[in-house]
Amino acid sequence: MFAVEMNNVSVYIGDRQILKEVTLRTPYNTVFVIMGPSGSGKTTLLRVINRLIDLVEGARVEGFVKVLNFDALHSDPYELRKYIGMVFQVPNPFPHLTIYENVAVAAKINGVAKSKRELDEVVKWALEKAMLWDEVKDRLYDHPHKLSGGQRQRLCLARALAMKPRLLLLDEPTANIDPVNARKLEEAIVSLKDEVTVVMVTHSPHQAARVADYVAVLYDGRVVEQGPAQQLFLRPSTEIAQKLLRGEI
Amino acid sequence: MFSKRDKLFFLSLLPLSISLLAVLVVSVTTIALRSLDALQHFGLALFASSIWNPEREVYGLLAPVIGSLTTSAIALLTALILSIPLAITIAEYLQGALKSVVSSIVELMGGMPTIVYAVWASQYLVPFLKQFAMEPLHSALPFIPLFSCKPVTGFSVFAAGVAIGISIVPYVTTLILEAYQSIPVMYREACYGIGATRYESIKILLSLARPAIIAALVLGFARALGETTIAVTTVGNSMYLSSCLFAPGYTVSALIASQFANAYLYQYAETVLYSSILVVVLIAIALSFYGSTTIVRWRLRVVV
Repeated sequence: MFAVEMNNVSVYIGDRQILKEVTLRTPYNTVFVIMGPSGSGKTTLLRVINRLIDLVEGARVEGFVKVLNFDALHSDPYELRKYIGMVFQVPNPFPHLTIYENVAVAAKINGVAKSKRELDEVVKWALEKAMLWDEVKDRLYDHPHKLSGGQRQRLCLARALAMKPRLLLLDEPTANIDPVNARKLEEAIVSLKDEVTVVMVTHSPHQAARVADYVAVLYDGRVVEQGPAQQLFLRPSTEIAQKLLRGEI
Repeated sequence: MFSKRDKLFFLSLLPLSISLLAVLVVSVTTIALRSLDALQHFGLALFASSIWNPEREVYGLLAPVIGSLTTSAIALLTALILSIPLAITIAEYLQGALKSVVSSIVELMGGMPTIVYAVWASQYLVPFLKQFAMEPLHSALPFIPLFSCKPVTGFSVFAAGVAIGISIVPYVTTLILEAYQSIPVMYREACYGIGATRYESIKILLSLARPAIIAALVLGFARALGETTIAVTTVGNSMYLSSCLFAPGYTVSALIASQFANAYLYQYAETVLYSSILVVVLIAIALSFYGSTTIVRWRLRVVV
């Protein structure tokens, strides 16, 4: 049983083929990292999983995608997304909501909390899991523009966690934040495995090495190699993976 | 910083580009100067009663000023009820050709001469409202002062408000649509990233756009204040001040439109009319300023 299972998935945007017969399997409760140089199709791959690809005009997906127990390409995308949280490259907390409300809104619309007390607990739990609680517990009613970029990104992680997702998608979550915050985020990600399955996209082999249980290497729309992280980092079998690890592509 | 040719070009644009600003300054100044006589002669008492009796040189502008504010408030409510659903339908549910057709129709309606609305409203809307809104409201809730009078002809503050409201729907819808569609896609993605359905996303995005929507309504209110043709054909043109919305009333614009032609015959009629314009213009300018700066500030905060 896998959280995400893709068989021969190809994605076209207009005439351009972005993904080429991708096949991969993500075991439950692991951190699965998709690694590859920019332009290799990582983000597109991630967006097939929760059907955000639908927002791209002219996009066409072929193949078979199973996400949790959904036949993802033929399910109601809104129903599917109820189980999938996502954190994006650029931190995007809702600017008009307070820190508390940003997290609470995710819990509320997914029916995670019924009473105010339960809601308070979920918000605290999510902020703790995202390693942000200590920094914001005294200013939950500030707006997110008062936070640093890294804090904003952890707020987005907390928001995604508050919906109690079964699958968490992270699209280069540390790309736009400083190294200290990036480390905190990585720490948080690793500690999440008990609760969710994480699929994360990164172009940094170092980051992949720090967090991944499984790695898939994506290059020019193809998965060129995949497997347990340790094995792949110690003995990469393809030239592309070797080059990527040496930082040559 | 500028080349010589750039400078010349800029200097040639300058007089034309500031002429509109000049029109505003000159017209407001003129209105203020022309209203001085009335304000000095009658003082603030001018706005404390409702009389229009030029033969005896007795004037009171309370009814038209209150009428203008009331009709505009009803117009605002009407526009609110019609514009937000329309904007959401266009932005979220219509696609492709249908979307552009509907947006074009909205724009077309915004450019339509108000006389078209005025004739339609006086012939069809007023009797319709009388039968299906005013009479039912009066019989169901006669104890509420706003609905306490039986509509006689239907021409009333209420009818004028609804008619003017319908005429500003295209304008307000366009403003709301612009704000809504300028919300960066990353916030829409954020909604989907927490499992929001389409309805829940719309709710979140609307609340994100709330300041801009309020500003759009304020701008609509300012526009409703100045609406003349529709007001004069539907409001009933009576100086009678009533707490009931179904009684005929006046608005400042309607008063001016119907009285200005003969006002020169009397000593104070003209300057009194000018002072009534002054009140409306000052309110409209203040509201427009508030509305447009709010939208700009919102854009800077959310969009950029």
